[in-house]
Amino acid sequence: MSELGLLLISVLYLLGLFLIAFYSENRLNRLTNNGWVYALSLMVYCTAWTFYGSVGKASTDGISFLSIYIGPLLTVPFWWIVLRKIVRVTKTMRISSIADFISLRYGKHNGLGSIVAIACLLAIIPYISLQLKAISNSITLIQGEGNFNSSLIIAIILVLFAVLFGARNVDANQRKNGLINAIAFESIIKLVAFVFVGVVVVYVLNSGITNLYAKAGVAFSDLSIFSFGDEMDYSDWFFTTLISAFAFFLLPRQFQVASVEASDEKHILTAMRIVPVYLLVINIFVIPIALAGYLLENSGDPDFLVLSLPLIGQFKLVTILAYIGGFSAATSMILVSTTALSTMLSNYVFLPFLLRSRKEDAVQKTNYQSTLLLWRRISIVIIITLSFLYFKFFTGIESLVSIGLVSFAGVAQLAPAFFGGLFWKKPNQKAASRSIVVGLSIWFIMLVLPNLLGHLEIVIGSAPVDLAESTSEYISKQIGLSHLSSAILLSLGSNFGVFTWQSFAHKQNAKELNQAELFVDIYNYSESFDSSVAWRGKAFFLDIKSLLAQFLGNERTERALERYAKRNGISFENDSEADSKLVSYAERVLTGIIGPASARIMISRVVQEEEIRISDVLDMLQESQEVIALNKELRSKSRQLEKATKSLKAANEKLQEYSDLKNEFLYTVTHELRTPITSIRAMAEIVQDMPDMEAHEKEEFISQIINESERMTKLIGNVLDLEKFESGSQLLEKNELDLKSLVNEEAMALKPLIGEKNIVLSVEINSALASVYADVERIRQVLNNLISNAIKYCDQKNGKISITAYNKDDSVKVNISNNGPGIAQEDLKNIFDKFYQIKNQTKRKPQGHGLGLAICKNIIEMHKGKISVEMLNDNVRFSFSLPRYIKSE
Amino acid sequence: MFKKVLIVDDEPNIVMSLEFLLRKNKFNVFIARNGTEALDLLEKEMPDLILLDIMMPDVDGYEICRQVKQKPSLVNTKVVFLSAKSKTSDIEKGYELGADLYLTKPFSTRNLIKEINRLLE
Repeated sequence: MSELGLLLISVLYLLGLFLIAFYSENRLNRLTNNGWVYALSLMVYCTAWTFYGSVGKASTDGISFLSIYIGPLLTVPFWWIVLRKIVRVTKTMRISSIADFISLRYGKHNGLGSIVAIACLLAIIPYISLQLKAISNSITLIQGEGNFNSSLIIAIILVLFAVLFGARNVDANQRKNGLINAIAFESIIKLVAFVFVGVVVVYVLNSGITNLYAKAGVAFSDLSIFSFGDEMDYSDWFFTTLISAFAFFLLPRQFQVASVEASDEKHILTAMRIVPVYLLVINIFVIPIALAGYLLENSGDPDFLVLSLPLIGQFKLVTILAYIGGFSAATSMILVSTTALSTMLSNYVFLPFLLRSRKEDAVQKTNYQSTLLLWRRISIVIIITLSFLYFKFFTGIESLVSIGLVSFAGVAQLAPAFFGGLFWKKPNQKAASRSIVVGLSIWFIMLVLPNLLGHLEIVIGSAPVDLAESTSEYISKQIGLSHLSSAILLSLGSNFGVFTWQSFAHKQNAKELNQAELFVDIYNYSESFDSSVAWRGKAFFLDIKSLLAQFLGNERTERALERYAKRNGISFENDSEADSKLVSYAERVLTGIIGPASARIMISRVVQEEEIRISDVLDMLQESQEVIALNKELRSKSRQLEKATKSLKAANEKLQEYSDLKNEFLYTVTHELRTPITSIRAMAEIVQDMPDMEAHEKEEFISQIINESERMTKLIGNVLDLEKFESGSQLLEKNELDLKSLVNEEAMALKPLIGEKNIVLSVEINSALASVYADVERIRQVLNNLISNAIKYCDQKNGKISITAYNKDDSVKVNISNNGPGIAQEDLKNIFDKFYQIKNQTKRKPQGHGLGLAICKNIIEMHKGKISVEMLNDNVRFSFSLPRYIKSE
Repeated sequence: MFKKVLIVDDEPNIVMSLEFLLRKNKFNVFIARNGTEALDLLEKEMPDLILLDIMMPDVDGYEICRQVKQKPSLVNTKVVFLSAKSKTSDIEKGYELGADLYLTKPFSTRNLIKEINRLLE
């Protein structure tokens, strides 16, 4: 394989990555915005260290390589509590790096942010150089030493990539879709490559896993590969597990993908399922590959067995795939790390310097948009350059794993300040700053300095200071742990100690208290959160606007303010004073761009701030809690009001309905009166106009006139009755009443009519029928009406009417049914309404005038009884029940 | 030849008096006691004039009027509504459907005869 060929493959691969990033940069669709992408991007955790180093570590120290995966795995069950909270804080406060996070938590302290930024830089530069080393070594391994400085060329391309997609937008909190999708893609590539290499090594080179183990068992009686290595004891397991658990959250690249780039909290749930599986799969073939390397003489550097085994086996394509896998693992780490570090470096190292060094006027006029991007890009160049230099001069003999673990131990120093600040309100800025400085110093002295000095010794030929190395050696011997473990124990232990001690030793100032409250109780604020609670001061709207425009440009400033105005339902006037909510909003927007401390400085330039005292903050917090309580009360009051309004409205509608009914009733009454009057008038006129009509005709006409008059009288009587019942002016004369004889009486009274129409009448009355307490005349009216109706409506040829009466519970029930044509279901409901038969329609039901049943209903209900109608076996059955007579009444 | 008049009403006494009145005035009278009967007779007899009630148990008077006005064979048939429905909207609806006259009940028999004669001139 020619040198150029490999370089070409690398460049082509990066070009592919470019395309993916470019394609998905401005698209937010289901493909780019889902839990899988989030989970895969988290797997930027697996670097060249995983891809190459795991096998190397397994070759020398057995299964201890697993500890750096066990750490994160153990945290998975708590992600929904811990990671979601981090994401919520990050998103609501527009945090763009872990330095932002910590500095914001401890009162927007710029110095603290710088400390965090520098700590990350110190820990990560060697780590990035480790990736460059992996790339460089892999190229050398495949093609031998060449003329090209391939790693330099690749470093330059990576700078370009990071500048293009990592430092694309001035708002660092804005999601970098392109980058994240490229990273997710790389996570797939490295997984596929590793598994593929594993399969080839095990099944093609060694004819199966059983075979491989059998061979290994014969070759080595004592396999260190299945035990903890010589130097690795349980304490090492514990400490590496611990720091990798921390590192999974705190490594700048992990914070970047897990929190800054998170787009939906629900994606965490997806990641909780996918990440463990991913970690399991990528580790499955580590031991088999290590074993295969063991079995082969001259397999070379165990750190690169993944590459050398297929190379030795002459599998060209597999070798290239392995190379691409390692390359993707390395590049993904470099890209995300530089992106994250550059934001920190420009916001915490260059920017504060820039802002302070300029005169007030100059600051007011500068357009920061381009300056900021420029500095972020410069930072990227600086970071990769530093890493490259570190790789050229300081990495040599250490294994991939050891450099990685030193980095982990470095970022783990942020853990007390980070997690302590997230769940505990007490810690203050001093506690955070001092604990990080102490822990970092011990880490530097014990883990970094000896290495640096050792290299310096190689470079300049003599050891300048041997003290650091010998001291740390001495300390670890005294503790009785390995060098790494004792360094972690000492640095993290004193870090934690200082943090706790200082937290109790100092009181928080107002700003710190405010931020502590916001972070720890983020869920209380994040939904309604639109102001940092403790801000006081005066500012003019125009000042705020022009400040924002310096960083966002005019157009985006307009949009941001418009959004704010819309959300809060306000409109801006240019000469007005900005209220504290708007100032806080502006500050948060700026925080996303330049970090909280610088944002604070910028805001303070346009705002005349009042000194806040701690009691004010407490008052305000108290107040805000009261406001929340008040809000709740208001809400419940307004709900009650709404309810009242609703019932009023319903009552009103009911009234309107009654009024309509009344009008309708009047109209219907007059309408009903018109019919008999029409007949009467017509017939009377005829009799008058035609004196020559015959006597019998005249007689007929006159008798009909009398009939119609009677009809009218009856109708008027009914209307008046109904009015009396409905208005309650009709009084009942209630007495003990024997229903049995009353029913019989009524049936007898209508016998002639029944006989005339050949109707079969059956009356079945329970002999023990109880008596009721009722007005006999009214009940007679009801019975008469119901039986007359039955006669009227029953079958005209074979009419059948059946009357039954019996005791039921505490009442007496009477049923009157007939075999008439029946009543439609929708009419059954309304049949007791007065004039229902003609209401709202142009069709008339035969006979009657529509008041009888309404009157019956009124009478029965006045007796506290019930009346109903139903279709029963094709018969129409009217029933009413009356309460039994009780003696004492 | 006597003119044909169709009475459509379900109120017996009204039918009786109208029939008597018209016969005495030399009209050929047909009687329908509901909408269905009315539609049958319209087909068969093609009356010159219909006295039409609106509220009937089956097909209402409006519907009958609409059908009459749609049939080419009944183009010369006059429609007179005799209805207790006295709201302006009811009357307007009747005229919109093409009625020649809308009289509300109760009506004067003298006036009715006069109007019928005028319509059938």
